[in-house]
Amino acid sequence: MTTQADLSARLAVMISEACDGEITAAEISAADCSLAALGVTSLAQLRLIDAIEDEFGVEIDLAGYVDHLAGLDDLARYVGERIHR
Amino acid sequence: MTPVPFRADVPEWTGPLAWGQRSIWGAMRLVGAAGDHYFNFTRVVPVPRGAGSPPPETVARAVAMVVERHDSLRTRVRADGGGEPNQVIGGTGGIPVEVADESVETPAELAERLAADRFDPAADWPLRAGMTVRDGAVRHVVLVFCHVAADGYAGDVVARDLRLALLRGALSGAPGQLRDLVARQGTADKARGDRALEFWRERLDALGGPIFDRPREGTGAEAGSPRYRRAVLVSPALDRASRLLAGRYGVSTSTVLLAAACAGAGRIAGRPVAAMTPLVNNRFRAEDRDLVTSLAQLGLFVLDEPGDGDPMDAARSAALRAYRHAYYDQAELNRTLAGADPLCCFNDQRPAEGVTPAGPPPDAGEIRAALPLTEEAPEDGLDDLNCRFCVHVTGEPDRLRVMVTADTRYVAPADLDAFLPALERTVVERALA
Repeated sequence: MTTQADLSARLAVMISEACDGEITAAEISAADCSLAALGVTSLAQLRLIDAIEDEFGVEIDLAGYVDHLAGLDDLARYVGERIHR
Repeated sequence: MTPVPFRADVPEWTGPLAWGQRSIWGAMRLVGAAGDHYFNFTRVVPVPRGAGSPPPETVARAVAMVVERHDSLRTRVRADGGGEPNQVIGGTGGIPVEVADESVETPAELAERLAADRFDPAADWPLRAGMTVRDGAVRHVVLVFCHVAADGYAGDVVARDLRLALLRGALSGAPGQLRDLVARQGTADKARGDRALEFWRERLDALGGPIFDRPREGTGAEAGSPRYRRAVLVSPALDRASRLLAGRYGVSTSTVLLAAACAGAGRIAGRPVAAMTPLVNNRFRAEDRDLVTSLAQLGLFVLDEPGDGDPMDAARSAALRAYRHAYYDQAELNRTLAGADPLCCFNDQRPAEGVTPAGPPPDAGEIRAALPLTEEAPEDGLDDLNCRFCVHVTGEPDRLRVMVTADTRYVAPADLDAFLPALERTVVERALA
């Protein structure tokens, strides 16, 4: 079973990959701002959504405002709740 | 033209078209044989210095190597009795290559001439090439693509491969192939495609028809020609303002422009909820980034009635939804929608690197200083088009060129003329806010 900390760490790596490494996983984990403010573009978010679906089988719901994509903690909570269902 | 033989070491394959291929094939068929050469596009590859001064035979071999590398460049499409297309990926054949004297015809002229001939998708290989020669050595290679085989991104991949083949005399690695993509779309990608279909169905139902749905009085078939009028704005200020906003909201400049264009179209049409169909490149997965095929498909961008929040936040979510749901079985979508279409489209034709801002964002002073440099450029209209309102973005470095084409039966000339200045104003004011 994946712990929430493991999941956060893994997602930080995946976000970094989606940004072609322009933002490191360490910077993402340490940030206290939104992913967008950190420089994660919508293109990178789309790559990330695909990667999350491929790796965890979790589909990111894009209806309404996508608050769960706001920051790493929001995303980890969202994905964690759905993997463990 | 002398054909350059190719021989790929893979079996022949017959199957359906990939989703993106089906989209572009349908669009080309709608235009018909008289006009489908307008879908052709070209890449001009200068022979790299490291390749020396190769004779045409050496360059022809490099072209063949690239064709052998990608299924898509060896495919031909034919419709069955019911009109549904199928493709056959061949192993052997010949690519037409024309050699021209560079002192007589420039690479750009050769590209234009070679692209003016249509491809017969059933009979012709989807690539033809040209070379311009000086002192016996090839200086430039011109590649002309049938759009069913490749989109602009794929064109760049092929150009890159050709450069490497010229430099190294060989190509390494095993790129993803069209036949595998088709297989995946029938299995692993199917659920995702179905979700996209559902999204289109729901959103288009709610929209209830084309964005411009009220014919103007006295503009029937007897109305003036050309029926479709165009306006063009070339704006360094729009380029800077869109980059500033893109950085601020973590979106591409394309999303900034799409949002403003969609809101503007909605205002003209008198609709509180507006929609536009942007062309989405669909290259979000690592394994698809270098795939040579036509992957781009239309997305559906729906901008809901502005609420109290920041309109750019709403646009960002709407863009994510549109880009996420642009990968679907086109034939199935056609059946599902039975012709329903917003008839309001957006196509940012700039290369990917032009859309994602790089470097420090421009400041407010730069945007203000650029405003007086905006120019409107004349552009001929046309009589035939399968859309009512189309926004095209191209650009030179440092300035954006936005063109709008509108059906005069639905859009008043005064509204058309005001559209682009209003678009620029919206984006600039938002950036300066």
